[in-house]
Amino acid sequence: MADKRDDTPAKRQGTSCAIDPELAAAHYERAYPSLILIASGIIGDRTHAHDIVQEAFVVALKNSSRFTEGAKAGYVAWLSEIVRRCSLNYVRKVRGRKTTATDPELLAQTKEGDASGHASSPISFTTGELADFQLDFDDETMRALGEVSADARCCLLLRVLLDLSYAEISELMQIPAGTAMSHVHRSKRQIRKTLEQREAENRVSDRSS
Amino acid sequence: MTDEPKPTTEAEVDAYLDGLMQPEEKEAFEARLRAHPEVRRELQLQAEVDTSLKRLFPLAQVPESQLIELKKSITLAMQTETGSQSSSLEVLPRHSLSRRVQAALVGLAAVLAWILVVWQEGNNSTNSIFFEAKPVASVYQEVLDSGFEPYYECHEEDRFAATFLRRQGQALRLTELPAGSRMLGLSYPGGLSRDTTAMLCRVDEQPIMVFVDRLESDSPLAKENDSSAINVFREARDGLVLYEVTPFDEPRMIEHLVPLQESE
Repeated sequence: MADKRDDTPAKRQGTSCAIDPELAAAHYERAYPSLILIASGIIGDRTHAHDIVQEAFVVALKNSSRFTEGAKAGYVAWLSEIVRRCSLNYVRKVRGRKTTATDPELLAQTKEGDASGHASSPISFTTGELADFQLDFDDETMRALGEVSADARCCLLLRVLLDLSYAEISELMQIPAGTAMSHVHRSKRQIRKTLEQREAENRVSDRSS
Repeated sequence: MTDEPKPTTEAEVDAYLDGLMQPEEKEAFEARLRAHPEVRRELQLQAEVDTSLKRLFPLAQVPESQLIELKKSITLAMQTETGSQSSSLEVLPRHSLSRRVQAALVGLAAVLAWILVVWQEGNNSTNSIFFEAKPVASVYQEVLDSGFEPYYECHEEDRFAATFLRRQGQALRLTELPAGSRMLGLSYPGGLSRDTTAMLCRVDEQPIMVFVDRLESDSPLAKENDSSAINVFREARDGLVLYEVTPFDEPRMIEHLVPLQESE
């Protein structure tokens, strides 16, 4: 999983040069899974991660003259920094958005005309999210993951899904390896605790109903 | 001295879950776990969380179509730089300022070319950058597995022609089919591009599909065929590319699909 940033001929020669677009594309292809996870970690889901990574690569190519092989961090680290910035921009944009994906009035009409006769709807009419009783384990995990900080989410996803070493995560995220490790350990603990609490709450509500 | 097993710490649980323990440490920890069902439950829960994360975030690869477009635009930019001569794919040392400026221009040209290609595709379909071309033989197999039914039973000649005009920029019609051949309808199952139009037919009761797309959407991937039971035939004409996927040894339908004006 490790990218071979240090294997570029220019690095071996110790020369300062701009990245060749073809080489940049090769780096992009190899780093793509990590970049997707970083974007997913920051925005909290993977739905828009592909768009963000693609946008980041366009930005990187446009600014490739600003990247020098002599830089301390490698090209992929530079690219991941751009992915992080693009993801944060996206998060800011979404937070400021006033529109919803579904017209709440239409949802309300659906509730009134519910042919099943169930009083409760699988979708919350205020948030548009799945109601608690509709959540399965993956939804619960996703929700618990959403409560972890963005950096910790990125580290956790890179560690669990790509099995990256802490040194590799450290380079990608531009944070010390020890911090990356404590992000992973702490977020795992936090997710387990959240899931255990929810399970206990569900048991109580089951008993009371 | 007591035989009571030493309780586990959070740090130990973290290290165990993270695979950071030495083999002997791991063995000792697992031995102690027997006396700690609550820690065992915690480990089990973490394993479930990890599996859940893998389901939620399946590993992604760069979409093939995106790579193809990217490489095309880079090649274009490099040709511009070297006057259509082939260029090394290595990192080129750039010692002088003018070389760095050149590199920046190449990068910018690549971006512009890529954006142009994406924009052009965007005019035809939404999010086309994420479309992945795939072999028409595999699309045929999927359609066959799902019942070999068209999306659109299009038997009116004008609507048939209009569909190709809208999707491929050229009106097509079917010439008179021989006995034993019939057109079932049209589908839009992908293949070469998001706009590929496929005609489903039966010839001597055998299922045949003809995929039609603009010639510029053609991909070497389209003709790939691992199956010995079917054949893929390609024909390029009038700015279109047509693929017939058939169990027969020769194409039986492709010749009947002709430009509208040709048959008038």
